[in-house]
Amino acid sequence: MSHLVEHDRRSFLRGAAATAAGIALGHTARASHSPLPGGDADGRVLVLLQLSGGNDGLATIVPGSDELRRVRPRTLHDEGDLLPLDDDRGWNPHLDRIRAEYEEGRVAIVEGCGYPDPVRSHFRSYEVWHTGRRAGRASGDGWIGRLAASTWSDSGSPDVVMHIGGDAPYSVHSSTFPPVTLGSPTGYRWFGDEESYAKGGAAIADYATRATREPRHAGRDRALDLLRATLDDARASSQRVRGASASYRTPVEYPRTRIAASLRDVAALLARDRRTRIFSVAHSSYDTHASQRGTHDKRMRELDGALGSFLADLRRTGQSKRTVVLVFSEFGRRVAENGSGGHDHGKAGPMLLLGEAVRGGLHGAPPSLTELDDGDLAYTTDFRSVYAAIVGGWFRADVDLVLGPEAPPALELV
Amino acid sequence: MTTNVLLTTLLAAATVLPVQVERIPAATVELDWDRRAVEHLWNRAGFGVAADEIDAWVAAGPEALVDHLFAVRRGDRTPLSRRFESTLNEFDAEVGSPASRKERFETRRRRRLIENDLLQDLRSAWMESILEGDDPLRDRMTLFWHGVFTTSFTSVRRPDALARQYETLRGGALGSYAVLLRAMLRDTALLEYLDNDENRRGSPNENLAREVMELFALGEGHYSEADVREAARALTGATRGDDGAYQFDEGQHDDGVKTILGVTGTHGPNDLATILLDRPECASFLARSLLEYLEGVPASPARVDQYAELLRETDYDVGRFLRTLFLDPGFYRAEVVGARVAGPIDFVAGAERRLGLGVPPDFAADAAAALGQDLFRPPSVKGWDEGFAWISTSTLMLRGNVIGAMLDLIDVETVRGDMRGAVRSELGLGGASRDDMREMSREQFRRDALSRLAKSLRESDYEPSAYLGTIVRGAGARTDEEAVRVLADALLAIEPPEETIAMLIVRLAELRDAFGVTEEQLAQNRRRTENALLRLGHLLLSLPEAQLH
Repeated sequence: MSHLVEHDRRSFLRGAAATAAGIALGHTARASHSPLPGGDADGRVLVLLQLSGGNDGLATIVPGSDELRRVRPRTLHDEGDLLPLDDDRGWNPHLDRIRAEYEEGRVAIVEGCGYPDPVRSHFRSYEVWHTGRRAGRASGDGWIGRLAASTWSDSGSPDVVMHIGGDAPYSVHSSTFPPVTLGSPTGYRWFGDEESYAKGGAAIADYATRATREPRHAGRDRALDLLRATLDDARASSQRVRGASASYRTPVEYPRTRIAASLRDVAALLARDRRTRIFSVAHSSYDTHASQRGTHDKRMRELDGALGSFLADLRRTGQSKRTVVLVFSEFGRRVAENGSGGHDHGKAGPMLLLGEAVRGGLHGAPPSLTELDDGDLAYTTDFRSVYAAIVGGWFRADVDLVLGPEAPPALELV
Repeated sequence: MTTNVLLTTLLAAATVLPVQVERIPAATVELDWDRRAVEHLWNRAGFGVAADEIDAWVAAGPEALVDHLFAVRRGDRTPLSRRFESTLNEFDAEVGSPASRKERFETRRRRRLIENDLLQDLRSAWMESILEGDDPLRDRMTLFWHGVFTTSFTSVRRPDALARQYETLRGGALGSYAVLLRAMLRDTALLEYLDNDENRRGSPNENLAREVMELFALGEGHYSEADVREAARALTGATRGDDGAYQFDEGQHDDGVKTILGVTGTHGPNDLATILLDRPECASFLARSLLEYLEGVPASPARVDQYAELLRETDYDVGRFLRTLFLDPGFYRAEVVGARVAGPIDFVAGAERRLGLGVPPDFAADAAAALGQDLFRPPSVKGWDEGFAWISTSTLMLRGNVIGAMLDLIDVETVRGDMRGAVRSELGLGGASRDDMREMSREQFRRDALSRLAKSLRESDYEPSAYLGTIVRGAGARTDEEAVRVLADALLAIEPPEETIAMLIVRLAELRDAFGVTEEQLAQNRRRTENALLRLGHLLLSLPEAQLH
């Protein structure tokens, strides 16, 4: 490419970037007056945090047990290293900030979460967790997708459900009320002259000099209407997301990890307005088939740092009362370690719910370490009773509609 | 130039289809064989057509184009499955049986890398075929079948078995569905994907039985739970042998009497297929799936009936089905033409087919994956949801950005520079430290799909091999309006509405001003003209109009 072209391109892009930043900053001033979607007045929010790959619950909330020591010679922490929880169990040594939240009564631990007669296929198990239904994806949308479509679909806001950071879990999938999904706020834009792009939305009708709707183009025109609305949504949410990210300042120090960056973006959006009700983020690499100890400890440290900063930041901005964080994983891991010092895919595991509105403490029941289900922890709590607590207890939405009549009653978690 | 052809003449000339001729009232329905129809057929039966080829197909007529689409092309390459198999066998022989745990772990890690590479090869080989466009109808229908008889590398980490499945689907893509269904019940990748390797006498696994009925043959509501249980028994023993080939394990097969959909006998897998194929719902189910995939709108009961009957009469001849559909005026109705949301592969491959940019197949496959259609990794056993399910705020903008990368307007520096801009605006307000922000920016960069795509394009030394100025000059465009019309025709798969043309004319004038190009200079070969046109092209291919085909 010639020098000339490079120069042209740079000045072109500088112009575009300046425009974007200007719009973004201008937007902040009138941020907090956005209309509130949904019925409830306090704008309640769920942050769904998936530990992708199958978190080892027994290395997260660690029971004191000789039996466990026998089958986990390499992966189990020394009892003295654990952080105190109660007489029967301790926290993973790296979860000190989450433990501090727990001590303040702001963390509910739900032990032994799983579902009856678990399917053998892990791929399927994943789907069960994401849909809250035994039939998995064949049953339709994800549970958050159903919640959003049945509760907020008339809000007119495209970004009621947002996933930040990579691939969205199927939980947020909805065929009628799709989530806004972004890798990172900075990449969430159309890279060109954004003002021209905006003219491709519904505003393009201004260019029509005469009625151009011909019958032979009926199908095309219907489709164009929908796509133009999506373009307008994209523009609106792009400005909001990028603006929030670019203008957010916080004295709270976040660790330099992906999950922390995603949660920081969530904090920025929470502080900006009340439009988004569900934020989905994911913390990956929990699939610890080999040499689990070091890897899992690292994950725990990352999770602890990210969540600790996030919760502190929300308290600072006054968003902590309307926000709960649900930490889940698509399955637990086997009780006994395998030949590679790791743990293969298992079944039940703990879920955590964090926030000021949460009824802190232990919920559910600890699964037996001796009476196993084919080498796995047998579940003691149907995970859907936690979903039901979110849907019914937190959002006051219709549990039957979201989780189906087969869902068990809600746990009292909020 | 428009040639109107009577359907009856068409059918008589195209192939022997007396049944169809009787059913459709003669001389009342005509096929308007114009540029719009030609492009429509290319969009749906293939992956689009270059604008300068359309007139020749208008002149040649519909039968000629349909014949062209069906023309047999034979690749003489070694099947990928065989190559993959020997690669994996060689690796296994070379490492032997690892002595220690550590070695075993290391061997597994290395094998996984090879498996990933082979899958990458498979994906690229298919994408290359799609981009080259030598066998468009077969590629289109293989993609359809890949979405029906789904198998994902995520759970079946056997590139050789996936390649074999792909070859089976490709070979049978235009043949009889009955043959394909029977072949799939012997396909090791599918059997493993749907857990039939765990379906044994006395402890049945119903996964395959259920999906065969629900997703492959009948559709929900046309079978009972008892039918699923009995069908699962019929499928016991169908599995993968130690050599990787299909094996029917008599010892694991339940040879007792079963009743499936009212038919009683000591059924095995092939009997199950026969029972399903004999059901009238099976033809209706397939007819509906094909119609809705190719037309992009819900199929009316009358249309489903008409085409289901054709399938029944021809022992599920999909080729005959397609030939009839492509010559059916109903396929060209207003509701259908230009109204289907192009899937990610349609979108990326379509842009390449129309523009001839020369994008690397790896990039095209990665871009389609980032947009939601990752070959050999369908999201679930149901395959991909078509239509508006492809479109989110994110994917809509990313589609435009992918085009920007293909036109070389967006590269890694664009994304980084934009991030730096965002970070600077924060630093200006005095907040976190410079280091923090740099780190944050790096994290955001890592999370961003466009950055990854732009990086892979840079690493492949790609440069677009088409000039928009050539297209504009070649058509003799001398005004903004003429240039816009020529580019819209060349770049879009559909006819755009007039308001879109009007908007683009205004934009082109702005761009000419920005780059210091006069309207007269549109006809001249200048770098600045190309720069203005590239930005117009980028906008054009990012618009809602470019998402349809």
